[in-house]
Amino acid sequence: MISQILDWCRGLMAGAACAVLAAGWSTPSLADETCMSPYMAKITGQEEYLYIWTLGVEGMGDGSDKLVTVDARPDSADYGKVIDSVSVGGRHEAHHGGFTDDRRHFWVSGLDTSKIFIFDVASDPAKPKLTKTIDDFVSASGGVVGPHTNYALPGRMMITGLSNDQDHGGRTALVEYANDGTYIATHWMPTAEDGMGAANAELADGYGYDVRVLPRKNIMLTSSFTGWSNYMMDFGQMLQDEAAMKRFGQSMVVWDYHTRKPKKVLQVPGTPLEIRFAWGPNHNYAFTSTALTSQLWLIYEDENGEWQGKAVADIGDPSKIPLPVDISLSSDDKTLFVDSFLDGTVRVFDVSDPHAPKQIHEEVIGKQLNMVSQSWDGERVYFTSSLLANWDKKGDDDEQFLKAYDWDGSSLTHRFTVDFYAQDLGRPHIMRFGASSLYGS
Amino acid sequence: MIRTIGRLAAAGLGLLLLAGPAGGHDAGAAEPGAGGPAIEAPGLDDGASYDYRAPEPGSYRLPPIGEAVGGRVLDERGAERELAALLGERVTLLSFIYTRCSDPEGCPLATAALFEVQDRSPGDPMLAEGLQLISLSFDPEHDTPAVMAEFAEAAVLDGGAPWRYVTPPDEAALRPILEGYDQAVGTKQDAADPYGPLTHQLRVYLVDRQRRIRNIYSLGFLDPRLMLADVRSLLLEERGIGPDRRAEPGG
Repeated sequence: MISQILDWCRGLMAGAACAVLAAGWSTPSLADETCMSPYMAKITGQEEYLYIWTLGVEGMGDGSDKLVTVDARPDSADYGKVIDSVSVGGRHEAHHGGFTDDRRHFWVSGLDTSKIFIFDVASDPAKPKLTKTIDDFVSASGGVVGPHTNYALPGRMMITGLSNDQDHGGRTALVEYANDGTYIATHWMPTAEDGMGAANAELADGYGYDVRVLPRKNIMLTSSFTGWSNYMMDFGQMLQDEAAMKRFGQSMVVWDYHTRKPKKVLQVPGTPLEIRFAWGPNHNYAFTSTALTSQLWLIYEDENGEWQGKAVADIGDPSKIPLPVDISLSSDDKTLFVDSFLDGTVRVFDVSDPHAPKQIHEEVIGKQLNMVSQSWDGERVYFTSSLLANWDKKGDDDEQFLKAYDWDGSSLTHRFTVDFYAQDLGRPHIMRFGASSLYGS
Repeated sequence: MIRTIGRLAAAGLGLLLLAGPAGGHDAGAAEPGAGGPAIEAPGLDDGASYDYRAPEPGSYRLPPIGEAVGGRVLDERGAERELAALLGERVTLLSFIYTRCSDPEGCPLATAALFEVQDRSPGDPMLAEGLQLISLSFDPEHDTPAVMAEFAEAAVLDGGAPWRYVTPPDEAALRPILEGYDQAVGTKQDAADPYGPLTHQLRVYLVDRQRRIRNIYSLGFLDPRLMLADVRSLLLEERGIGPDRRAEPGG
């Protein structure tokens, strides 16, 4: 087969292309979660550890945010148990995090204090070690507040902000750091007043949330949430605040990735949050979900090479505001998991036709639900419960858990639950996978 | 095209690449930019695999990422050289390799992309006089100057940008270089791995004459057209030509 590929290459393509095509035929199998940067080193085989960035709760344990490690090895005596916990001291509104491209460090950030904590996960993957804290994010970036997504690029991290230090509203920027924690650059989001050359700039609101890159198309895509003054406000109070409810993002921005210049602003009403690009080599599209309007959106390149956005499905009953918060796309681009917070429900869509998703499963995971991560082979799915300290439910509805399931293509089978309150840990948010096999000796 | 294949083969890299283990692939190989079977690789002429128009040189910024550190290395003749001095001579594309690597997503891929870049330099005075390529081994015990000389010989291109193959004299000299470039090299748990015995993160560094890292390329990013645009951007920058800088709000 390799010789056939080479023969074809010789007729059509450059030598390097031949090399990669031929080599790809013999690439060893891989398995990993599907929601990370494409530049990143990949886990071979079963994930061994789950790293969970966890909000501290006053009066619970040491009350601080912490990185919790859970053993995910099915043959381990500690399977499904907490095997390590590293407190960072203080509460910072622990939220999202991501590995560096070499996967040796795990960056996690706090939306309130704008601190970024860098953990070494390579020296001992079972026991992450806090090696550096970036505590001048706001001043270094020129006023960006609320570091959210920590997205790996070659030798650097792209951090999305949620806010700014002028009015603590939603106007914000992307901030680049080198892997050693050195500040590189700030890229402000376009606004209607300063569209920075983007098409449809009149739709730009300057808000930010998530970022993903499709390298093959040189496209970077960003979404939009709300500023510090809203995400740190009590949820019930905010819902009653008419002015506050107007301060949510309604747009996404398509960027020229290499030049870091905005190309086009898309109107996506209802606050588009997580972004997941498809993986297929000819799949030029991404999904997102809108939190306030409860819709699944497709962001895609049309037949004319133009990037467009359109709603392709409702998530539950939008009139009941289930508040979809996280999505996870399978590595074969066929299955999309959608978590919604208020009804604690995961809905699974068949997205084989991305323009016409069909719901194939629905299940209540808990009284509240936030993040979802799935393994590369699609056989294991993990859920956590916490959204934001001031937005999580109260009283008996304030369940805080990590839950693991197997997925067989049509149903979920529960494997284990870690009750984060029972273990005095706090409120679990983002999860990432670890494995010792990544690092050699 | 044929010349590139021939030069790859002459350097041993193409042959090593094709000698990888046979076996099926799964969805894991199909991630964007990870070089799976359906992912096309750099195509210089038509950009079909990297499906976008390469940026116009000089139209965008390449903010410094960090210092490109120096260190003791041996050239192809075994003479000790200071890496920092070499980097100061030209705009450099610096690749960390080991010649025993046959990982299709590793050293051969980077070398193939650099061949494509070098092929554009003859007849282009800006590139021929301003660019150099350096492949630096992190396997000094095996990659002696004699071994590196064989690769260097295959990389000679008349009228083109020079390509140096250097190696540290020993592990003690290697260690600070790897630390300086944040390159983690380890030994694989499977010492008999057919792709080679070492683990590392594929990266190619763009370094300006002031020894500042200006871009880093890895899987999904090793587009020769992009590297050429970046190199030309730095060479234009040396002539005072660059993008208009705008005031950034919020600061």
